[in-house]
Amino acid sequence: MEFSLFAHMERLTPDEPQDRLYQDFIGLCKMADEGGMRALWTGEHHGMEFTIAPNPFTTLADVAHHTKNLRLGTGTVVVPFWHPIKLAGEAAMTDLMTGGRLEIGAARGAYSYEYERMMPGMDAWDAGQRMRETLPLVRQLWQGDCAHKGDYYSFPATTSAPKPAQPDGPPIWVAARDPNSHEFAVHNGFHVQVTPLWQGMSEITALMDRFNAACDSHTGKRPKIMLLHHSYVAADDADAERAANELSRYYNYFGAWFQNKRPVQQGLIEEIGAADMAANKMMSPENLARDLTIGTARDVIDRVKRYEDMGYDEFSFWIDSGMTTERKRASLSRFIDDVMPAFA
Amino acid sequence: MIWKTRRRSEGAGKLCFFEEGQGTPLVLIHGVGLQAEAWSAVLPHLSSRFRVMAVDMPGHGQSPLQESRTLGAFTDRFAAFICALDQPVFLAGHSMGALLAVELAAILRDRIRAIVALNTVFGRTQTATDAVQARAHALIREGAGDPGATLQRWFGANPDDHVKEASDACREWLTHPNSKGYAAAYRIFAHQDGPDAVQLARVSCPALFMTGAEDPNSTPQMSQALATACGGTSQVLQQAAHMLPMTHPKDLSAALISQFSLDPTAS
Repeated sequence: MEFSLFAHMERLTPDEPQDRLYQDFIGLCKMADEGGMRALWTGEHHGMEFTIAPNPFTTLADVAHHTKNLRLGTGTVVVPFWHPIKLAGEAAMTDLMTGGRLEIGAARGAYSYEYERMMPGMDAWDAGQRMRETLPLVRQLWQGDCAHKGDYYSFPATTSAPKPAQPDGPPIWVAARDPNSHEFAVHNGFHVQVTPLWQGMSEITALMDRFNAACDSHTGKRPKIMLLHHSYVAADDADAERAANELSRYYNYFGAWFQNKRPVQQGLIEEIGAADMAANKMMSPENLARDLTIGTARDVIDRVKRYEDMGYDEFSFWIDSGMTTERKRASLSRFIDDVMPAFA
Repeated sequence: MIWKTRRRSEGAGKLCFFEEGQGTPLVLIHGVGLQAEAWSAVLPHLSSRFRVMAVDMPGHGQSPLQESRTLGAFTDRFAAFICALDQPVFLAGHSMGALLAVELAAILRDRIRAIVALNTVFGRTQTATDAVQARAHALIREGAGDPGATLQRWFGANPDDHVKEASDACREWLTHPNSKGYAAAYRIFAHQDGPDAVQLARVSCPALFMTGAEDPNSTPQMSQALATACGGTSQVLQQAAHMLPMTHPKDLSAALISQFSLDPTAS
């Protein structure tokens, strides 16, 4: 089992200066690098202080200079926001700048909040259709002299400039959920990234079942599958309970952004009151304590072993949570020191 | 005869349908093993207000199965169908059609104005899961067989008059199914434990979850939980079971008209 960090610059309340938030993020990347994690994954979001990440290539180019060995992955580019030529070119440039450390995680996008700003009228279905047209083109553009006439894009023969540093280009992973998306990824030779979001074991199992079904119907090499899940390694049970409360708050905000019904001002969504949070049974601290990868080191080792036994190749520690930097660092430190060695 | 087979047209997504009425499209999706005529009793109440389009699911009625074997594949075909229409639609689905309606509302945000999900499964017990999966496997292994047990589950042991007519129509459809289509849909339905929680969280249009008080497999509690999960509403019809479109067309039509008039931009 390999391990990676999934992190962004994030803000839940207006008070902290943004340069400090960025330094906090870099600090976590350095911990991951020094701790021997395989990769950092950081994604793309627009117009939201909840997750501050307008361009993963820019971010990764900077992270490259603060770290030595960490692979640098986009977790994820929102493919429908990118013209294929631009995506291929910027990815190749980032690969060159980082000495061939880039990996591409690609998705159709999660937030209608972003769709209605960046591409009014596009919905999740269109976004998925665009991604299916664009992603195979990226490899062809890296190879060069790719001409295309499609539903969303058409261009005469084009070659990505530069070409990537890695001989076959950066490895490409696709964020998948439903069986169709697993099939698309596997049958096109991409790796797969999945997350149950706030859910637990039954969804983690269902996601692996879909991946396996997609692999069974494909004769090529079995790609890798990564599980992304919110994690917290606690000092003790009380600390774990506190983390469950913090993640419950985080997921209430995530849900609010996802549903896109509350007002947003200065990039911050309207504050969610305690009563509303208490009413959200789905994301209660009790449910999250049971379902997320939270617990003492022993608990977390046991959970991650189960994921490994299911066939997951990589576990990505999702650290965005609205917790203080001190708590994030303490948890990540325990993960590196007490959990990862059990998988060496 | 209410349930006689009607002529179809072909729409996008290679889906066949028949239609009646004018105005905002109201797309209707039937359940496993049936076909678009399942809505025939409801149609007359709706066609004065909507352009009602009753669609055959892949592998049912006259819609070819093609290679559609997953929920995503079924959803994609309906998405293509809806996207090809000239305006946003109202959408109602029954049983597996309800599952598809929720999925479509999640991914076609602005193209769907409101949904009604009838007799929707959500969070089966282990016993119910084992039972439905056993039926799916039997169907795949042995083919359709005698639909007596299914009809009894749907319509009761001794249906009278109108209900008996409905039961006979279903017997006809279940006895001469497109067996690959029936099996493919049943397999999806058996293994998908209701709409996915993440998809439910995406649904932003008005959503009504309606079921019969006596439906043992798509219970009132399930409809209530679904409504809570996506900010919708639920309704329970007393003395009604699983086959609402066929057994309670008047009550159902009233609920549909009410739900689709809530939309402030309704014509």
